[in-house]
Amino acid sequence: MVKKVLKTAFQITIICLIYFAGNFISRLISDFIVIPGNIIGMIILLILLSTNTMKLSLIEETGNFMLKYMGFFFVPLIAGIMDSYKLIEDSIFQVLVILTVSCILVMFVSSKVTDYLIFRQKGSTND
Amino acid sequence: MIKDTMTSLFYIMLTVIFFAAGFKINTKYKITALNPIIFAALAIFVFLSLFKIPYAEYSRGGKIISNALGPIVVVLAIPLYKNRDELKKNFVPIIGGVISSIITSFASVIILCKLFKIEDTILLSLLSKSITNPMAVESTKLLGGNEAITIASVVITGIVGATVAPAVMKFGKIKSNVAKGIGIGSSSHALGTSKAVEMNEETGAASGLAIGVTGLMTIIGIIILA
Repeated sequence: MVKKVLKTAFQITIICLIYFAGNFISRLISDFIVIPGNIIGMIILLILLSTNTMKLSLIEETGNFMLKYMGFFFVPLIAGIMDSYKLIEDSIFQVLVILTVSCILVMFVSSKVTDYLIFRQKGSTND
Repeated sequence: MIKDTMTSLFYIMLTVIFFAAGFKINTKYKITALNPIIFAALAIFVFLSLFKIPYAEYSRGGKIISNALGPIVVVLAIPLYKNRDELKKNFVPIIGGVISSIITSFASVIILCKLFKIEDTILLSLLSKSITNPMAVESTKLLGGNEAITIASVVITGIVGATVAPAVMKFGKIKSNVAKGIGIGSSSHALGTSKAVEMNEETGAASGLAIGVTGLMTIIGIIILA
């Protein structure tokens, strides 16, 4: 039990350290281009894993747990927009329609184009 | 001090309980529209309204939960790493898909806003709705919109994306898991990705990748064009 708690705490610490490093780099380059610290952290972790500097098993358990319940961490943000809807109160219905229609369109077009290009790529390499 | 900590803890526990309840209901009845995220958010909203608690008060605990979103995006490197060969192989289709997503996003928002006669400030604030929040705020600044509207539109888009993703993939007859992930991540960023991760690892990996690529290409595009 104690061992498991320590292990989880250790894994969380590593993940957070990478995140802080990402934030630090993000601030350094912020005059040039805005890349969020979490995206840079993701790239750092990817590099660490790809170059075998860090073993996946070192963070895998906690990482997978976080990904499985990822949705949970959005709950406060979503509860928050219900509070700030006054900003678009007058056109709330239209805005909701626009966002819904646009999101479905974007998702459909983007995945269809990717699917088609993957299919074509496969076709050309088989010939 | 102790009272503050207890307040934060109380709202964190409340969120956990509502989410767990939503999770239970969702796995038992399999209703996609009622996902645990929306269930919990609605429950909190009702709870706060019922007891007349301002959102800022709840936020003392809520903020701590939201802060964990940073490290979570970092962890998306895990599925990315596991599926790196499949993703590398599909480099060109992925870039093609992301570019098509950005064009579709901008075009559809502009056309729909004109159709509904939406004022320009709102239009400009909605343009960045498909990219991850910190990047969306930045691109709205570049475009001259309202940041608060952008944040709300990003979250709403994410909820819509996570909800419609399985249906869009089914009716769109999307075959490749990579293509599914690119579609989800490029349209509805991290919130959509939370659904993609549930679908399968490859889709989750592609979706996580799409968050970064779409955000970056959108900002670079705006800098070049504006």
